[in-house]
Amino acid sequence: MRFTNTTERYGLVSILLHWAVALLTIGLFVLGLWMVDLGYYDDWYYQAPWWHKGLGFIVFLLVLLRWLWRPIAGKPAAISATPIWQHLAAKVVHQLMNLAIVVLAVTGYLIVTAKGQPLGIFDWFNIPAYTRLSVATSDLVSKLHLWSGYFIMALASLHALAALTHHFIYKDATLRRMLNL
Amino acid sequence: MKKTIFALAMSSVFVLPAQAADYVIDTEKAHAFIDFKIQHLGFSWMSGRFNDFEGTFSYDAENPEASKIDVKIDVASVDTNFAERDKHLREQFLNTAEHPEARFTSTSFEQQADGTLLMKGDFTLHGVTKPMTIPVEKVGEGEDPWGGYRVGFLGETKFTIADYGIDVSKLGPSSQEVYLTLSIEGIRQ
Repeated sequence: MRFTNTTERYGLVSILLHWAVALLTIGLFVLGLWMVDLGYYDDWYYQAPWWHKGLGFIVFLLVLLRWLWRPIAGKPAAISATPIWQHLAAKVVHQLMNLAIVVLAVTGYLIVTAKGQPLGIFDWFNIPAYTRLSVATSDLVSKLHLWSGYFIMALASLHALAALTHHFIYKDATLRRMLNL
Repeated sequence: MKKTIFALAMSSVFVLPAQAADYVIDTEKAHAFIDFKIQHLGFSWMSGRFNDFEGTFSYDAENPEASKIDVKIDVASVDTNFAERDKHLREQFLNTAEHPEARFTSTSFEQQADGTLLMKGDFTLHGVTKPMTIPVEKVGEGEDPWGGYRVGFLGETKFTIADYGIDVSKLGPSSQEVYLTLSIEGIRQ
């Protein structure tokens, strides 16, 4: 299997990046909702946020890597039978998911660093605070983080539904070529 | 004659009936603090404070039982020097979105034999109002170096957090009560 993409299908790097970002993002969403309700004596009380921060940083790096890889690796041609509005809709959803990831990363960083504490990425290194936030701004940023989480899950559901429609109803290669089948 | 007028004028200054003066708590220059502490796991004390509050009181050293105080606290200003914990306190415990304000309004003051005052009042937190008693001692009073007049008090009390409808059962048995320290300086108006 090729590393780079061809006009027909995706290469290994693109496929792995796509699915890693997909699975990690869903995992972070569930982990995030779960961890905020943990009790103080729970084993995961400190571990869950530790993982959430570290994995969140990894996802952000992977998304940056995808943006760098895309012009290098090229992109399979659009499947011509698909109507133009669907191409447009797909593009809009892709870009909104990119936007949501950036918002999630930035707001996540701001929540942790709101009072000057650094953001620890696993036990590897700390990202220092850039600015201090007022309580009102900090609460707004928290809400934005949560809403962006819901937003990206809604977009991902649309995206998955579209892929499944292509696979089972149009019976074209859209999903297969992202699965190396 | 002049002497008599002067004497009369002076006497009127000194024998004026004792009147409670009104004070504004000096939050502007931060000479007032509302601190709290709570046990962490039963191993140590965790302390924090409310950064934003305002209040007024009236006080007369000759008649301390006529004192009154009213303090409003912006609960969202809770500060334990850790952004994630403060967010957790605001969202999971204090619910500041629904109950942004806490308030203490005095109902009576009792002079104690040891010179301290027993301040009784209603304390509202998390939307629940309950009577609260805080022993208060005057730290000092007098003219400040900038032409004003100040008086300061220290009061300490503790209360059971669950009484105010805040569920702290998951914090463990040592952390069911919180200690409040009020360090208040007022500027006479």
